[in-house]
Amino acid sequence: MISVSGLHKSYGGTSVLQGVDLAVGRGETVVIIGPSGSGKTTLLRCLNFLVEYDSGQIHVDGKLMWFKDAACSARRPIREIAADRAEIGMVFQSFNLFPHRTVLDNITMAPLTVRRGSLARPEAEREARRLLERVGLGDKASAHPATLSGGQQQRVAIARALAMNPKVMLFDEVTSALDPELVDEVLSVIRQLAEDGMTMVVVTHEIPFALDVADRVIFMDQGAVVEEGPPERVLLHPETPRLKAFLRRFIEMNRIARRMTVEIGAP
Amino acid sequence: MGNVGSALPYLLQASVMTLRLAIVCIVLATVIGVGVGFLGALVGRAAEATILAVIYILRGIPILAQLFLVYFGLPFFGIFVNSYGVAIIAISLNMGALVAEIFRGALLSLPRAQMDAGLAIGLRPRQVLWKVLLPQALVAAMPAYVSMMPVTIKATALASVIGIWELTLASKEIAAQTLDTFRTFGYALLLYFMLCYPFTLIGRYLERRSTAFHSS
Amino acid sequence: MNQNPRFDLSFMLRHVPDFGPAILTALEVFIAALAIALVVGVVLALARVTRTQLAWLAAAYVEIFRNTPLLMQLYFIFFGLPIAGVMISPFVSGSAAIGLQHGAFFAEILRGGIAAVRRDQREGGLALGMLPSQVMRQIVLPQALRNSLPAAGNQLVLLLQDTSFVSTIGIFEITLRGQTIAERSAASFEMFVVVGAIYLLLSAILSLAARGLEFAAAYAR
Repeated sequence: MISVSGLHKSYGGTSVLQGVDLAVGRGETVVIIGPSGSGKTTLLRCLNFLVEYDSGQIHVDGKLMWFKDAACSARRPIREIAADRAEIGMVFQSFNLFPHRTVLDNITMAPLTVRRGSLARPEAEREARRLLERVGLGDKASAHPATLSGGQQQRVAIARALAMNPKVMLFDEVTSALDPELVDEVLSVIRQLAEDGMTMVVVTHEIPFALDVADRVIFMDQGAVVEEGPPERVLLHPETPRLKAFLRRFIEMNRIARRMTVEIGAP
Repeated sequence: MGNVGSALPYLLQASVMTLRLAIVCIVLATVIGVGVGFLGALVGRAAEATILAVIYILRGIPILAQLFLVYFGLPFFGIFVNSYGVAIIAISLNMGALVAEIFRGALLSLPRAQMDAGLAIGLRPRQVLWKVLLPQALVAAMPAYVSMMPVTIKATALASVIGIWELTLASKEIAAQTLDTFRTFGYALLLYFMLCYPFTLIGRYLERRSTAFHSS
Repeated sequence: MNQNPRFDLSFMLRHVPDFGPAILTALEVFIAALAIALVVGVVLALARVTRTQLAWLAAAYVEIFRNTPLLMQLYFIFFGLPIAGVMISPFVSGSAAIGLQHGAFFAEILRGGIAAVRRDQREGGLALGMLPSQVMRQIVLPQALRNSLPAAGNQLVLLLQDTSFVSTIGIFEITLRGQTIAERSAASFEMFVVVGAIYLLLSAILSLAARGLEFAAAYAR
């Protein structure tokens, strides 16, 4: 479904992506972990055309994703780029909901705008409500984003991305900005999506989630893929020292949690 | 119909007059404005309220109307000055109110933490004000203060209405003679632009530097 | 020669009604200039967002109008354009000059408002497959307009004050009315106190209205 080869990207003098290769099969859920600055977010944003990469190739569903036309290397019209973007859904760390519109409008805005001729408002709204039900927020259609909790806003963001019927869903650390109690509600929605067969690339810090939901886990560091494989192998039997160091920090935090469990009692 | 080009030296002389007028007003406005702007922080609530009221009045009335108010008002109270004095007083008061607003705003924009930090190291409130807050407020106010200068230069144009000889009046004279209002006023606009633009650029440069300083 | 200045209150109050039509005229100029300024401001601000030749032109426009006095611009339009063959009435000249000047200011305010919209908002829209123009119209502009309201409200009051400039080309608004009554009487000072008070009152009302608009916008939709 997705194939990335030899991806390079530099900002100014700093090289952020140094030859990344990646493949995601249809219906597969790939989780990317790694320290900050490893290029995970940049990689995701290249997949979505939000970042113009310097060299390399990205194919999504057989189509080459590139700002220039393959044949004549002129810049592709923005209309085409936008259409490609619509087939790739993205959920951001900071939700990015539109504060000046209701939840329902947030979800229907893109479908109504992009497919203005062929889609009528009642139909779009029906679909939007269906999606809201799917993420567990059916009663919040006429609310404003500011009145919702972080977890609820993020779920709306997921529904909004789904409204465009994407072939692929990208998640960029979608729970990192949430209070701990709110993380689970979002993760369960993502888990459901994976079970429903959506092709997904998830960048996250939630290691237990990766273990549970991922078909494959990829560890990135300093702009390149360091390790990849099934979650049990990568997370429980890391091979490279860098991955071991990365996971060690996670274990450290958990050791404290386990002590607290012993003292306070398990949830 | 005379030649407009030959009137350029005349207009240039008038520009110098405009500049002189503006400089006097800027100096006076600075003195008044900084004094009043900072004074508001030192004195008690009642005095501060009066100061704010005066600033409100000075900024709420158009400069042109203020010009006439001073023109007719001073003789009313027995003070007699020539038109030049009237223009200076009116413009300086108006711009002084603007400067006061700028400095007051700068002072109030400083984070509360600065006062707390000053007190924490043992300074008295008045000392914190002088040594910590005012210097920072001065720096913070710089961009806005510099952009006040072209505003004053533009305000001097109004002095022509009460007969002061400066660029606007001079250009009207030439236009009346040569009947080529288009080119005469065009030149005058150009001269005003050349007077004001350097200040605008400096102000913008200062603004960029100050945001770079604060965003780190 | 006033040794003991006696404020002629009765004279002042007697002539207040004379300002009625003058206030109306001033408001007419205000509205006309405001309409022009808003249109010009939005066009300029949008032009500056695009990265084309248009943006440079818009920037040049703003610089020219911000660095030259309104009075001069007024004279240029009213006295200068007829030479070039364009005939315009004082009302149109006055409103146009004020509108064009304040359009430059509104453009800067709106530009600031657009810049204040978080970059994430644009990305959110683009990620959904919307065109940049659609993103601007549906996501960025509405928020930018709301951001700009406080500064725009301020600018509105300044615009009202600048209507006084048209008195120099013979339009009978508040300042000129004050002048003419003052010339015919000995109570010139009192007249301009009235003039000042009228402007303060109008400014206060306008400020309140602008504040109300801000309030309403925050709760709309």
